Amino acid sequence: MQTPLLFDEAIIGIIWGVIIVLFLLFIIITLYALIKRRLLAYWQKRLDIAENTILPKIYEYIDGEITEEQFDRFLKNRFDIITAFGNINEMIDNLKGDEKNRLRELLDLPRFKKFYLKKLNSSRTVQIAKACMYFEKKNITDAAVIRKLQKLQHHSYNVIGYSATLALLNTDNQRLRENALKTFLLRSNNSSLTVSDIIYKFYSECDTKQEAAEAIFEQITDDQIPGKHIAPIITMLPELGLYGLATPLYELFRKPIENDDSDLILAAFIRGFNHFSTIDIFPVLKEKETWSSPFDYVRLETANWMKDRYRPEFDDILIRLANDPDKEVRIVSQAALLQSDQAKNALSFLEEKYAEEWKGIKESGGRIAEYH
Amino acid sequence: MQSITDLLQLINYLVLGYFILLNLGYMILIGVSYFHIRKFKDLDKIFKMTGVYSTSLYKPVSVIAPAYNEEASIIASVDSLLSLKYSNFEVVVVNDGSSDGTLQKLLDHYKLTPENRHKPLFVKHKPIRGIYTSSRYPRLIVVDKENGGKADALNAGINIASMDLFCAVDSDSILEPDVIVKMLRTFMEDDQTIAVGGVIRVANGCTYKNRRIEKVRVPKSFIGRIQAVEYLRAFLFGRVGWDYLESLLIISGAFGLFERKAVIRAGGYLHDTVGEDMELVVRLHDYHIKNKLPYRIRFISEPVCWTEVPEDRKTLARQRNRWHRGLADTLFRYRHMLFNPRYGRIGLFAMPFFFFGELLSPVVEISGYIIVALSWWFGIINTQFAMLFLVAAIVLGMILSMSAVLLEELTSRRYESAKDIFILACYSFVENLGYRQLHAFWRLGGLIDYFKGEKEWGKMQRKGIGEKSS
Repeated sequence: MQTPLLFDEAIIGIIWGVIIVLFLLFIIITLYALIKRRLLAYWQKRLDIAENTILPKIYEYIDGEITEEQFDRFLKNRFDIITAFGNINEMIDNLKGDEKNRLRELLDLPRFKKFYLKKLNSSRTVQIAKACMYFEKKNITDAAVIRKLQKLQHHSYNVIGYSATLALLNTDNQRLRENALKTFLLRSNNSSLTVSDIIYKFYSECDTKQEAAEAIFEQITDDQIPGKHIAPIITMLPELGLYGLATPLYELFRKPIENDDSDLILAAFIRGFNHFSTIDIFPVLKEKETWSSPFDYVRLETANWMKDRYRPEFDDILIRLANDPDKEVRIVSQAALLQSDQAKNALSFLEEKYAEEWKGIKESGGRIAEYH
Repeated sequence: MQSITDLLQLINYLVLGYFILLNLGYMILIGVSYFHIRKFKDLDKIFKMTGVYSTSLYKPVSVIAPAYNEEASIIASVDSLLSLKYSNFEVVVVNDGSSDGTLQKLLDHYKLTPENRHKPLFVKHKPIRGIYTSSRYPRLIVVDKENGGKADALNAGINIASMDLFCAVDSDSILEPDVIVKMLRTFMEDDQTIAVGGVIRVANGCTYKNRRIEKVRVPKSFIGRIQAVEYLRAFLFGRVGWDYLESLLIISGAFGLFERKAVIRAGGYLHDTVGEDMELVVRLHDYHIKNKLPYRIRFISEPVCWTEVPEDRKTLARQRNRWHRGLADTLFRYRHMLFNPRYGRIGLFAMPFFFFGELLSPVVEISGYIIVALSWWFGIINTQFAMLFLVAAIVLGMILSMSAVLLEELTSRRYESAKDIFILACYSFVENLGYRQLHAFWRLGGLIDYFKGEKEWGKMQRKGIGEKSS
C-alpha cells in the first residue's frame, strides 16, 4: 500500500493548530457573550435604578417643587443622564406650553450638555445621531455646536444628516433654519419620508403659517433641489394646511416643470390639488395631456382627480384611461365612469379583455380601494 | 486499486476545499453581522418621524394572515394582530377554504357582515366567496375564498389589501407589538426599499400572557432546543450578513413586510412551489434587475416574530425536506442568475453560496462521511486524521452557533436566565453529534424528492402557542 498522502505529520500538526485556534476562538466568544451579558444586565440594572430616582424628580421639577440646580444634583452618572434625557425627550414630544418649555430649559444643564457634546464627536453612527436628538430638543445657541451640526448635515449616513437637520431646525434663528432646510434638501440621497418629516418640523418651528409657507414655497421653486425632494414637499402641503399656497402653486403648475425627468413633481401637483384645493386644474391637465404620460403614477393621479371631480367633459379621457395598460389606472377610471351617462354603454368602448373588470366594478357600485 | 485510491484522494481534497471555503464564507458572514448589528442598533429610536407620524403620509400597512383550519386559535391570533402598535394599519384575514369552523368563529366573534366591495385581480388566486367587515372592528377585513394553499391566500390578501405596504404573517405566529414600527425604519431610510424581513424566534418553551410572550425560555425538548440554536444562527448571522452584503435571498413566509405594488409588478406569490417565500424574494431581485429598477431588499435584526417549531422528529424531517425542496425549486428556476455578472453580487456571490453552500451541502456532507470512511478503509487517511478533521468540524460548528448566541445578546437579549444561554451553548456542541448528520440526510431526501417532482407540503401538528402558559 502506498504512503498515505494525507498521513503527513505536518498536516496533522496544522490541523491540531487549527483546532486549538478554533477552540480558543470558541472560548473567547463564549466568554465575551457571558461578560457582555453580565455587563448589559448591570447597565440595565443601573438604568432601572436611575429611572426610579430620576423620573419622580422630573415630575417634581415640572410641578415647581425643585429647581434646576436641585435637579442637577441628581444627575450623578451617565445612567442618570441617559435616563433623564430619555424621559424628557418623550415628554417634550407629548407635552405642550409651559411644561414643554420648562423641560427644554432643563436640558440646558451643563451635565447634559457636556455628555452629549462628547457623543457628538463620537465615531459611532448611532451615538452621533443620539447626540443630535438631544440638540433637537433644546434651543441651540452655541455657535460651535451649530457649526458641528451644519457639518454633520453633509454626513454620508442619512440618519446623521437627518438628525443634524432636526437639531438645527430647533434654533431660534429663522435664517439658520432656512439654511438648514435647504442644505438638507440638497442632499440627493434623502428618502421622501425624511423630507416630509423635516418639512413638518420646519413648519412647526416657524412663528407664523405665513412665514412657513413663504420659506417652503421658496424651496419648491429652487431648481437646485432634486425633483424627488420637491414631490414630497408638495404632497406635504395639504397635510400642513397651507391652503394659502394653492394659487401660487397653481401658477407654478401651469408653467413647464423643470428638473422633473420622471414626472414625480407633476404627479405630486395633481395629488396635492386633489387634496387641498378647489382650483380647477383641468385646463392644465389638458394642456400637459397628463393622461398620456409614460408614467403610470401620473395617469393614476389624473384618473383620481377626475373621479373625485367628475364632469361629463372628462368622459373621453376617462374612456381612454379605462383601457389603460395599468390596472390601477383602469380601476379608478372605470369607477369614475360609473358616474357618467355613458356607463350603460361601457362595453362598447372598453376593450373586450377588460369586460370582466368592468363587471366587477359595476357590481361593487364603484367601492374601490384608494390607489396612489 | 491505484485508480480508486487516486479518485478517493481527489474527492478528499475536494471535500476539504469545500469545507474550508464554506466555513470561511460563514466566518465572513459572522464578522459582517457583528459590525452591522452594532452599527445600526437602536436606529429606530432616531427615525421616529414624529412629524410624518401625525399625518396621513405615514406608510399604511395591511397585515395579511392566511388561515386554514385554525378554528382553535384564530380568535386569539386575530386579537393579537389587531393589538399591534401602529397608527395606520388593517388586518386582512384570508380564510383559505377551511373545512372547520374558522370562518364561523370569525363571523360570530367579530360580528362581521358581508361587504360588497370591488375585488380586483392584480395577482391570480382562487375565487373569493365573500368579504366581511365589522363596524366594531374597523381595522379587520375577513376574506373567504376557495382553498388554494398559502401562496394563493396571500395573493387574495394582496388584492383586497388597500395599503401601500403589506406584512405577510402566519396567523399562528405571534408578532411583538412594535414590529411594524421597527421594520418601517428601512422604508424611511431609503425610498428604494421594497421588502424587509425580521427575526423569527422559537416560541416553544416560552410563557405567555394574553397571547404576548411573557417570559422567554428555551424549549424543553431536545429537538426544540436544537432548533432554537438553528434559528438564532440562521437569522442573526445568516440574514444580517446577507443584508450587509445587499444580497438577501430569503424573507421568511412567517414574517415579512413588502411594498404591495412591487410584489404585484413581479406577479405576486407563485402557487407552483413549496418555497413561495424565497421564490418571491429571488423573483423580486430578478424582476428589478432585469427591468433596471432601483430597489433594496433588507433584513433587520430587531423586530421579532415568535413561531412554534415542530418537536417531533417526523414533522421536523418533513419540514426540512420541504424547505430543501423549496430551495432547490427556487435555485433551479432562477439558475440564469447563477454566476451571471448582470445580477451583481446576487449572481456572483449569493446565488453561488446558496447553490453550493446550502443546496449541495447535504450531498457533499453525506458523501464526505462515506468517502472519509472509505479512505480510512483504504488507508488513504488514518484514524488520527479522520478524528482531528471531525473535531475541527465540530468546533467550527460550535463557533458559528455560539456567535449567534452572542449576537442574540447584542440585539434582543430575550433570554433572561443565564441557564438558558448555557443550554444553548451546550446544544451548539450537541447538535454536531448526530443531529447535524440526520439533518443532512433529511435535506438530501428533500433534494431527491424535488427531482422526483414531489410538491406536497405535508401536515404539521401544532400544539398552538399563546393560548395558555406553556
